[in-house]
Amino acid sequence: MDNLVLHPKSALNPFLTHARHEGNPLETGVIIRENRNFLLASLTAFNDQQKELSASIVSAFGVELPINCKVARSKHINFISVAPHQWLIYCNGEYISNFIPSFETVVGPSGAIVDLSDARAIIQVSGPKAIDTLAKGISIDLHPNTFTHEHAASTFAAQLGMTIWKSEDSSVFNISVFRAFGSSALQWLITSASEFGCDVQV
Amino acid sequence: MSQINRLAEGGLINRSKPLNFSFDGKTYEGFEGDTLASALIANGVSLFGRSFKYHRPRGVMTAGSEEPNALVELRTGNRLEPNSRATTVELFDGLVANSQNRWPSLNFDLMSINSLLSPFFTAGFYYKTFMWPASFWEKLYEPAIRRAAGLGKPPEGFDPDHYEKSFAHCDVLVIGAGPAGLSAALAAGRSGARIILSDEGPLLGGRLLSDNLFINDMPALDWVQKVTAELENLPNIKILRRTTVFGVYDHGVYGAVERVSDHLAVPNEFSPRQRSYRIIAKRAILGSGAVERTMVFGDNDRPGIMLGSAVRTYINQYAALPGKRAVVLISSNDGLRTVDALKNNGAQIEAIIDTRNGEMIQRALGGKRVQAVQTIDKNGNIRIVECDLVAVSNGWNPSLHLTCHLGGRPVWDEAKNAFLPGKLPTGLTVAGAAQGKFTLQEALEDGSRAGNEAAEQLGYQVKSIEIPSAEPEVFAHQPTWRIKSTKGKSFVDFQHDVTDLDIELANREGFKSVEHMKRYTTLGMATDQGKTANVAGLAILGEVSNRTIPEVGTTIFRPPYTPVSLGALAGHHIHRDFRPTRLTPSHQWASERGAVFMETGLWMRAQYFPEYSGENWLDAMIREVKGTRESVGVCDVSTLGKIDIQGKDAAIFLDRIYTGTFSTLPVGRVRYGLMMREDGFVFDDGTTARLGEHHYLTTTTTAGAAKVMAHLEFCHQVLWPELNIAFTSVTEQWAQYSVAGPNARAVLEKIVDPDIDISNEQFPYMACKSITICGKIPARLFRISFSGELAYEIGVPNRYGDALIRALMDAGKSYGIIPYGLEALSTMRIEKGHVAGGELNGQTTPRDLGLSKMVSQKKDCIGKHMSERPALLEPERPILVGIKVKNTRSKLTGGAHFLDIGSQASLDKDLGHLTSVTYSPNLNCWIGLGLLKNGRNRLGETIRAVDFMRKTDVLVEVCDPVFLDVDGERLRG
Repeated sequence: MDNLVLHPKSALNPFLTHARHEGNPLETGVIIRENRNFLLASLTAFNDQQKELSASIVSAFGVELPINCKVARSKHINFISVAPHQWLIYCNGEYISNFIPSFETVVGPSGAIVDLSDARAIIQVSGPKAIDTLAKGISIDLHPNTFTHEHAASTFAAQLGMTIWKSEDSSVFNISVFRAFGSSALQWLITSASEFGCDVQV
Repeated sequence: MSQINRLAEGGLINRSKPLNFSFDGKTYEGFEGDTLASALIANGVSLFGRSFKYHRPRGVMTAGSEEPNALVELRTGNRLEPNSRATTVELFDGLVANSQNRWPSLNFDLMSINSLLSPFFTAGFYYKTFMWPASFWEKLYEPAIRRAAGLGKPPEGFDPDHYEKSFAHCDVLVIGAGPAGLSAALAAGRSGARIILSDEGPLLGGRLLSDNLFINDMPALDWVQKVTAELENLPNIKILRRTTVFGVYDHGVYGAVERVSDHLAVPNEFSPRQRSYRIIAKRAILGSGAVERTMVFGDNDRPGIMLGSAVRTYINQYAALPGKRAVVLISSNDGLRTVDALKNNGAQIEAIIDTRNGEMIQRALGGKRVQAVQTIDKNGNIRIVECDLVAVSNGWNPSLHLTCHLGGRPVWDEAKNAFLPGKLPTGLTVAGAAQGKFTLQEALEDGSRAGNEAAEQLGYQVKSIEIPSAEPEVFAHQPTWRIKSTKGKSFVDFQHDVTDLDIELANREGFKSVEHMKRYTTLGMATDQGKTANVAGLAILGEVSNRTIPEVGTTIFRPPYTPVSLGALAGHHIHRDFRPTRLTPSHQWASERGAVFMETGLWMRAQYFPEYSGENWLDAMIREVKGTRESVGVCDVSTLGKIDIQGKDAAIFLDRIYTGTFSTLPVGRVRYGLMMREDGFVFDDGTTARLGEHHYLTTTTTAGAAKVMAHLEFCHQVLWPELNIAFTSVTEQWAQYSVAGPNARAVLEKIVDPDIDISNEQFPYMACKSITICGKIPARLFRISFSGELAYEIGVPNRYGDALIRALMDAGKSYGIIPYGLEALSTMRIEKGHVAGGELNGQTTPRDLGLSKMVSQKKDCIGKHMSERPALLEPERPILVGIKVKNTRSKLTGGAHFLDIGSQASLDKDLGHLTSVTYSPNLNCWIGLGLLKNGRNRLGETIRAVDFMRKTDVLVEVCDPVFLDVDGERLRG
């Protein structure tokens, strides 16, 4: 059928249709927005190919794959360590269909790369009360001296599994949650930010 | 006259902000800064409640959270909060409080007859008195006792306020903002360490708020203000007022609750009522101070008998005079401060009874208020002293409760006549009065030391701090634990109405161990955890058993330090937010169509799609099944687990995991797989598609997705770490729809891009392919069928999920496409004889399910050998069969047990049970799947399906589990 066109929808599209202010009307302590333009993939090194994979990444992107819950950056690409020999690859920007194939070329037989760009919602939290808001669910210490732009964590909040890391300038927390839990995660964040006043941006 | 006991000046109250409140229906006025207790005292109220067991009149004993007596019901309606300590309730305008545990009124409580019956109500009376007849216990004794005893009643509706939970991290947690806590926070804070300073009350300062002390020759309150200002300006310090640290847990975790809005009539719109914290602290300093002790003498619970420190607090902090004619009972010079406070504020000192001189109070006189005391001196001379207030000072008990939460046992210090902290939780130090350093100077020094040490240990550079100087104080004393009285009750634990005679009785009856005595008498087991009772109880037990206090030993404390509301512990997780909700890609579209949803795990899935208002699930299901089988239907199956498996050893791995062989599966094909546990029982099932030489996509049941993923990870990491494989859950990456029915292909042909051939020849049953649809949108197509019809599952990246369901509905319009929900899905799979949750119940083997042929004999797999144990191969073992009602008007119920006709319903006659049932629109009767003993040999026989829960007994025919299209012509068509 020629006239059937599939329009993509972001994970939080039904719940974030328009910008609004939530909670305390007198302040804006927190800004919440969904990143609707990103690419995300899982990269896993095969057992006997870890060195080869690291070398491939260094060669192609000029960065060492991080370990121990750290983030390494190469231009717009974030390599986020989420488990032993396992990373999330995240970059801002419009989805491009050759994203995975181009990485497969780099990775070759040393690892597995799987597109997760549709599997996660990325919620970005910023503002002077961002840490206080996130502390209402996240058990790790997000104090700027402890959790820098080089850190990442796979953790839980409000019974939701998530991965959290900061933008390079440390101004924004990126939170990756399973897409189907997006509405619950958003609800938790808005409720938690309510006392500080919260701009929900589209 | 309003506020008859309010002092003309002084106090930390805001006289410019009068507040109206009511107690037991009578209105009063207080001031901002008052507690409910101080405001009532200022208004001349001395009777606050009735005691737990004997319904004796009770007033206020303390001015803090250790209060055992003055428990009230606070607020009304669904905000009603029983057992609120009037001594910690901050006054707000419009506050409503009522006394509790009395009937019909506080002044005239008929239940006080219990006091007359008290000879029967001694320790352990429950166990001795209500023994016979045994049948009376549940129906008469227990309900009657429960009505007569107890404290307040909880509200019946939902709490309208919201609560929340939070984590907090710091280098040093300082618990208590008295002189030691403030000094510690200041010392550690100046070093740059991250500090959390918490205090129960709204004001920092601790005892400095209520004792007119001097620091550096200035009023101590000035010092408090100066320190508070500095702390508030340090960016590395967070001050949590109205916050109680109630528990110490492993690894430096502390539980705390902040009463964010308890001091308001209604919380601000966006603030929680309370917030519970889990504080993770590298170090903690406990500066919780000490609780003053009372003495045990006859009728020592009469309203108007208070701790001396409480009297000073009411006078100095709240400008409320608790009495005008006072007797001061002391065992140390420390108690003489109370004399000064009373004298300086207009009270008359009727007597100072100093037990060190041999004089003691034998008994208090009066009913609802103390009117006099009867004293006896060392020569036996008795005198009556009239009074309306008795201020008792008998030394101090360090508030060391938190030091016990990880098993630390307090140690008796003979010199200080007090228990001091024993083994401390790792990372915790104790400073000031909580460590037995009672003087102000000691507290200031100890706090500074502790603060510096904590910061230094964490690598911070501490700055030298000049420790302020305080006036000398003397705390040495000779405690008097009890004065034996022949008349009146001598209370030890006021909240649980435990008397000295109860402890004596426990000792006589053999409960000599302090742990036994505690439980027999319930000493220290009330909501105040015996803060004012325990040490006196131990001393009396020692006295009657000729042991010293250290020989008696002590019980320890456990969290919470003070009661914590369940709301604060639950936080947001109530109602719909009790747990997160998982929404399918088609959820919005399904909502727009009026779908009825049901919870399947965390998922919300469409149960059915009513065509008109009021269409019930059965009618809708019949319509959806018929529509699908006759033309085409579509169902969101995205919830099935999807696991991407890659690696050169992926095929080997799957062969070991599954009963079938996947290494031989050609690329572009799909195979059904059964997975067993190591014990040989079926674990999960699903299809696996081979997408490439070393690339598979495995699907799981919706419920089994997470456990299968964990199982695969376990098998790889633990059993076969040498295999080169990688797993990734892609359940959420793909929106997947089942398109089923004779016109399924026709509908899909309108969706797929023109170069994609999905004809039966090019894309036969069990084929799979990566394709494009609707103009180069990537998709995956699988020719698989759960319904038994010609069917496909089409997956697209989730961002297109909503659009795809709408496109499918558009594409199928000319075929009358209908969406179907879980009910229809379940019916069609039962008609087709496919096993699902009811059959994959963790107790069935492949053989039980009629799937023996799926267990490859050419290779090994997890569970294979264990599934072949003799007991699992016995012919009598229940095996999967189909079940059909004999009378088409009969209905089947899931879980019904099979019995032979004429058999008695007993376990030894039990033949198995129905695992799944449905109404079959194609057979026009109820059918089911079940596990029946020797089932395959009983096809065609008639048995009974008996359900005692639903009271049904139905004749059914045993048949093949495949009710429809036995040869599979439809799904291959």
